[in-house]
Amino acid sequence: MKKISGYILSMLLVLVALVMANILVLGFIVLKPWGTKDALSAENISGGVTYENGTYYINPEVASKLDEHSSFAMILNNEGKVVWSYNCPSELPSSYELKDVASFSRWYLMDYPVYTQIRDEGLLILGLPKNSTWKYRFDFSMTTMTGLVSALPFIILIDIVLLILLPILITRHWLKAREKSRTEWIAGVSHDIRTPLSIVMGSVEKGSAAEKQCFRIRDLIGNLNTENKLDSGTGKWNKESIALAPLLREILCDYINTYEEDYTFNPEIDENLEDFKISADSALIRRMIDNLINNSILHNEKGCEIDVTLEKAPGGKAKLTVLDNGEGADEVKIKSLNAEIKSDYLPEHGLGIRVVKQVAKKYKYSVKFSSVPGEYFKSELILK
Amino acid sequence: MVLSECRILLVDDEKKILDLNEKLLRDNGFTKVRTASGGYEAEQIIDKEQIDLVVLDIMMPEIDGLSLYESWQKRGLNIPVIFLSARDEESSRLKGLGLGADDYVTKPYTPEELLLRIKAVLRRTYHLTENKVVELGSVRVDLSSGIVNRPDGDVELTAKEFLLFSKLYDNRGKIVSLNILMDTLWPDGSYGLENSLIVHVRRLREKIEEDPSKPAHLQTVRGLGYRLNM
Repeated sequence: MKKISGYILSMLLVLVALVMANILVLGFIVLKPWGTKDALSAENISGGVTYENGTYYINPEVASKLDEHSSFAMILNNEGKVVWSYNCPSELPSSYELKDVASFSRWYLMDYPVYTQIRDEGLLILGLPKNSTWKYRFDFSMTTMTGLVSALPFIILIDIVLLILLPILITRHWLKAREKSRTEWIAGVSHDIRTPLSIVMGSVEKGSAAEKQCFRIRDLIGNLNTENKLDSGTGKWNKESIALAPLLREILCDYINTYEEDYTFNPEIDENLEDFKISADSALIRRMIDNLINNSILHNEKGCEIDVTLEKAPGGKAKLTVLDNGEGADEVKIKSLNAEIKSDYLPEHGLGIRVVKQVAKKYKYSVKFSSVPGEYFKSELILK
Repeated sequence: MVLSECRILLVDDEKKILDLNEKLLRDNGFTKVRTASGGYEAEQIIDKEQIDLVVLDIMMPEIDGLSLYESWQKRGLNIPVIFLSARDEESSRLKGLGLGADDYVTKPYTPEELLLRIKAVLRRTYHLTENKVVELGSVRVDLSSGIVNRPDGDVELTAKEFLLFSKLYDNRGKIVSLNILMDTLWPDGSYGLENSLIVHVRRLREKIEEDPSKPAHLQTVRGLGYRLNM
């Protein structure tokens, strides 16, 4: 649920960002020189100035608009002489050459932003106060305009792709950061448990029930860390060449040395598999095998026989079987053990077996559990 | 020099761990044990005293164990170190330093595990013997000289037999796997030497068992390894 709402939220964010970006792009495309408001355009002013019988008249409304904006207007005849003006600054000359007209019609007239309107008898010039307008010219060739129009579908297409991809990337980044902090948190808590547990393990009697419980907590912390790293994908795993038979022997020796009193271990390692190697992280493989054996121990507290067999499997693979003659498990439990890993952790299914399944999934090993209640519990793992 | 005379420095910011490990070493015959509750204190001891092995906690507040180790390496101090690590990630960093399996112990550990590592590293580094005589019925094995005192006369253990016996004795009462024994005897590579191991075990039995045809002490655990029962 959180994943979905995170996705929607980031999608909305990207959408807003895209809309803003598009407005900017379109703004540039349709850019016009603004600053001469409609009311104060050279065209409007020109319309408000009439020429009758050799005299110019200015409409009072237009005149007050010019006053209001501290602007001025003047008319040049075809020879460049000022024939009429209103509010004209005294510093401005009374006649202009062709080059002056060419210059100020594009930019400024002595720092005054000016606009022009052609009239029958000459040219009307509207001048705004200094520093009131940023006057700039934009020219677009037809090729550019055609290019812009033909680029539009691609811009939209890119928008759509970004709209889909960016939220995914952002969500993934968020999730990754969250998973990382969760892993760190669990590692930190585990660290805080491990030190006092060392003190307890150093104080309890060797081989005592208390020591065995310490081992159980140790396994639990290890599984918790491993499960989390496998689940979140934050683990860094080595790729080592592991000789399975020696590793299995070492694990079995450790178990016999610790649990010999209550459990009988029957190891059977096919001597043809002495050189059989797998490529994986040795700590993960060790934990997987540990968990299979531990499963038999934890569910049979009164003790049982545990057969551990490593034999050849078809296709150049190896099969590891852990079989105990303990209490076993009912059909419902076996069904859930053999099912795909669910995202929600159910404690009764055991963290250890969950890690076994995760490691098997990671390395594409197959794992199968079977049982007859009261007779046996069997775990079969095919490694390659 | 014998094992128990080695000078060991324990460095940990957790006082209870320090006390526990100091007691462990003293109870096992080590007389020259020093402790430091932090990196700077450890530096001072290292500068002034001769130390043969450091047991170094990684996560410490003022200066962490790995930085301390690296600074010693830079100064050319080649003291063997056993790291105490409390995080899985640290173990992979330690592997990255090219350290061997004996050079770090992951918390939580049993006192026995730590003691075995300490002995293994000291033996490996200084080729030490133990000032101890092991009694197996009427047979006595002197761990300082490698001479076996039998009712029918003295015999000497060969170098390989001595290594084999020491490993089994360190882990007495426990099965030691075939591969660990082979790695002990042939640290540079033990591939394909299973039969040689069997030969060495047979010869060792001839020397330490009262009746080698019915071994009472050096027990074979089928398919897994051997165990020395005292």
